[in-house]
Amino acid sequence: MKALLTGSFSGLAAALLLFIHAPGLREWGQALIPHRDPAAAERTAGELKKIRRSLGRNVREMRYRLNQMTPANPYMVINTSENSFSIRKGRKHLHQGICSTGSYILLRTYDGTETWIFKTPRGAFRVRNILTNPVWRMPDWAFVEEGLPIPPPDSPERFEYGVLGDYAFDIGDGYLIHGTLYQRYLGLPVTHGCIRLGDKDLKNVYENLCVGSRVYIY
Amino acid sequence: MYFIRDITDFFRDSFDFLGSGKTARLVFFACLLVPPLLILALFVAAPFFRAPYEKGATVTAVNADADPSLFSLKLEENFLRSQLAEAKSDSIHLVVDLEDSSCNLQVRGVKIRECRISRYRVSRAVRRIAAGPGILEWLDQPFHARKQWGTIPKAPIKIRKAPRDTTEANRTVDQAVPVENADVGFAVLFDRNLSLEILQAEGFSFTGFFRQFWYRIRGTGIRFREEWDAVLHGHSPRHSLHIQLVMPRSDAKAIYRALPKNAGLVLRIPPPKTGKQAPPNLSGSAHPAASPGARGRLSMSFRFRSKIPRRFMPGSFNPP
Repeated sequence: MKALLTGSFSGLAAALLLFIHAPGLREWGQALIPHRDPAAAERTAGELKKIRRSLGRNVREMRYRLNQMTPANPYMVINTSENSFSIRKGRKHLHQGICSTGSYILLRTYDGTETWIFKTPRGAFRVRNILTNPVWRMPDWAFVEEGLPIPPPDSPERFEYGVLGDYAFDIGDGYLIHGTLYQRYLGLPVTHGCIRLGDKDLKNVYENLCVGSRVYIY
Repeated sequence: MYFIRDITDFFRDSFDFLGSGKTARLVFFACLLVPPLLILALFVAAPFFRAPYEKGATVTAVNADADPSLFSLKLEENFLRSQLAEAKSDSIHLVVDLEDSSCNLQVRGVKIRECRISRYRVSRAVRRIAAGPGILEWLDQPFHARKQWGTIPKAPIKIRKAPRDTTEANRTVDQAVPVENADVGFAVLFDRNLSLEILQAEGFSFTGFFRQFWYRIRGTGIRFREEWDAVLHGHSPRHSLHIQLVMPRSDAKAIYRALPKNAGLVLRIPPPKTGKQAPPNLSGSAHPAASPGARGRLSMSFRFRSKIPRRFMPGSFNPP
C-alpha cells in the first residue's frame, strides 16, 4: 500500500512537471529531427524561366494594386490610443496634431436601466457631410451625465450652439469630427465617441478634407 | 549537519518498503514511471507524428535549394496576395515583414501605422518550416486571430454611475483624467498554430513585472486548456509556431488596442539561406550591422540580443 501511494504521488508529480514543460520539450525536440526536404519537381531551365517570368509579372501587378489602394486625395488617420491625428496625401504627411477621442466610460443611469459606452469606433470611414457652425443636438446621455431630467426629443433644451467649433465632419453612425471649448483636454481620452480637434487643426482639416474623403481610425 | 541527517532519515523511512520485497518494488516503479511516460508519449512525442500546422491550400512546391530566387519570388507573391486578400475587408489587420523588420497596421490596403521592429525571435519549429517548401503552404493565406491577451486591457472601460442630481454631477466635473502609462506586452494566438507575442522594447517597471507575471500565468492557462481539449477530443497537442517581436511601447500599445477580435495577420519570413543566394538579414535585428556575428552562418540564425533585463522577460522563450 505504501509502495502504491508513494509511487503514485511521485509519478503524478513528475507527470505534472513534464506536462508543464511539454511545449518547451517539443520545442527542443525540433532540433533532433532531421530536416527532410521533399524533392522539387524536376523542371527544365526553360520551364523555370517561364515560371519566374510569370511570378515576376504577378508580383509587379500585385504591388501596383496595393499601391493604388492608398488614396491619392488627402485622408485622415486618427490614433485613439495616443489621441493624435494626421492628414496624409499618398504616403506624405500634410499635417499632424493632437485630438481627443472616446473616454471608454460606461455610463449607467442612476436606476441602472440604461447604459452607454463612450468609445470611438475603429476602422475605415468616409466623410459623409461637412457642417459649418454646427449645432449640437444633445442626446439623452448628456442629460443623464449631468443629473438632469431628460427632455422630450424636440425640446429646445436639447440644442446647444457654439460648442462644436466652426466645423463638424459627419463620419456616420452619429460620430463627428468637431471642435471643442475644452482645449485643455486635447490629447486626452475624454469624449463621448466623437473626435475633438483644436481650432487651428479643425481649420486645417476643413481645408484638406471634402465630402467622400477617407477617415481611418485605429 | 543535523538537517542533512534528518533529510536522509526521512527518505530512508519513506522508502524502506523498497527493501521489503519484489512486488513492492514493482508496484512502486510502475506507479512512478507510468504517468510521466504517458505524458511524454501524449504531449511530447505524439505531436511529432503530425504536421506542425493545419494544411491549407496546396501550393506548387518550389525548392529553395533548387532555385533560391524563384523561392523568394514565390514568398513575395504569397505575401502580396495575402495583403490583397485582407484588404478586401474593412477591418484593421497586421502586416509583419520580418525580412524588412517592419510591422504595419493596415486597413483596406492603406498603411495607417508603420512600426519598426527592434528585435525579433522565432521558435525552432518556425525555423524548421522556413527551411523547406512547407513555408509557402504555411504562409499561403492570411492568419486569423483566435485569442488575445496582454498586460493591459484591450479596452480600458471605466464604469460610472450617473449622478442623482446636478449637485452630485458638479462634484465630478473637474476630476483629473488618468494617463495610462502601463508596460505593454501581449500575445495573439492565430490559426495554423502561429502564436505572436509583442513586447515593448523599454524595460519593464516594477509594477509592470507583476502585470507581466499575470500575463504569463494567463498564457500558461490558455495553453494548458488547449492541450487538454486536444487530448480530450482524441488529438495530440500541436506545436506552437512562436514569433516574438520587440518594438517601442507606443507602437505595441497602438497595435494591441487596434486589432479586432478576429484580426488578420499577413506574415513574411526571410527566405532560407542557400549556397547560391546572398544571405539575407536573419539576425532578428533591424540593422544588419547590429549583429555582426550573424554573418557567415550556415543555417538560419535568429539572435536575440535583448536589452531587457532577463528577469523581466521570462525569456526562456516558452510560447505564451
